[in-house]
Amino acid sequence: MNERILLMRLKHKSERALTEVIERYTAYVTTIIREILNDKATAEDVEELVADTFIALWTTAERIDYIHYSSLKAYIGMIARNKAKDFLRTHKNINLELYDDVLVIDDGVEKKILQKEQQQYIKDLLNRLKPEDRKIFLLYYYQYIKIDEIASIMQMNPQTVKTRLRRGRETLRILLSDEENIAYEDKD
Amino acid sequence: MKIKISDMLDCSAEILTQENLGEQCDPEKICDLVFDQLEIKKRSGRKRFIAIITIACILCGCVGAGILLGPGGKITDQVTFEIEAGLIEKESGEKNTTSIESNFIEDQFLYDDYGNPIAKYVLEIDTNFDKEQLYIDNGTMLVLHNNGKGIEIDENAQINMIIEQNNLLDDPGTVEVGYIHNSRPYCVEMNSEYRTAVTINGEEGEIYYPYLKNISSDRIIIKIKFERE
Repeated sequence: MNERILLMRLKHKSERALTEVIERYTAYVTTIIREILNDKATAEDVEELVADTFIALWTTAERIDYIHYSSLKAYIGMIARNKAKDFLRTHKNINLELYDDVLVIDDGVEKKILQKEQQQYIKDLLNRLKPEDRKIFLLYYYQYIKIDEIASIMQMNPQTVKTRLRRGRETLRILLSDEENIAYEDKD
Repeated sequence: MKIKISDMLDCSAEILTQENLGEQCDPEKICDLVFDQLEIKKRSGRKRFIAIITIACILCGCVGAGILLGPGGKITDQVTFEIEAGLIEKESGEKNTTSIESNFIEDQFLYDDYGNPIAKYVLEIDTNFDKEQLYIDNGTMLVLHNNGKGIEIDENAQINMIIEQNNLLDDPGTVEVGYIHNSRPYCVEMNSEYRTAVTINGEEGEIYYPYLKNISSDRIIIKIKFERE
């Protein structure tokens, strides 16, 4: 059954559709949750969070506007990541704060970027970054690994890691500002 | 404009996550957990529903264990039907939360090209394909079967369905008559007559499940008779 029909059936509270979604996406949701929790949660916690993800999908399905999302899978992924982060915050008192997480683009009118547009920007960004920079960017902003740890993984010094992150941020800022001729210099 | 990079990456989980096939949760166990939790929510909603209905029954002066009508089905007791028909509330404008599913219609055919369900409710009615009296609420589709089986057409044969409306409010409603073949619905006739005769001409050896759909605003009551030729 294709995703669009699955979503339609979820909106109409089809339990069969929910079962199919669970069968299809449990592995994906489990991976997402484990990526964030690492060793900070038990197997039972992970199971509960996976179940909570699907329950949240069920209760919000009526409100999903499909054209704003790249896919049902993307929406489920977002829920899963938020569930994992909330768990760390409420049960482990861990707040996943990141250095320089906010990009200021311009002084223009605040506009909302749809999920599927954001995904496209990230795709473009990852295509433009060198493999090492891409890896560092994701370790930090996606997996919330600390800079010292990244430096150890990549066998670099922490300052180099920060420089590479800055490069990634700047490239993303330029993409979001729709500026052309992206200057990408290898300063290392 | 301000935007969080981590939020953008959350939105991109679909492209960034490679499923780890190692340690995974068991989907069956997750299903059990999810449905257990949802059942708990359903049960608390159901208690409220039962309380409201009980009060409604008392206010209407109804005593005893009358079963409230669903969106369609057989009429086995005319007197009880007519009493209980008055207990059905008008649509309150709340969203229909009943799922649209059918064992006889493939999922892709349960929705039109715009993603709208083909009916508000799809009910499967067990019948011996002889004579039956049925009621159908607005937007409800009844698919007829005999213990899970449809009607098999013999060579050069056809099935006639004679449908007569006998509604509580007298005026005939608009009914769509058709059949399900190879899990797909086909409309044969749609009209607002007291009496409708529909013929299904099929291929030899093929199986057909007749269906009726009420597309008028009020409930309709029909007698249906099957004839083979």
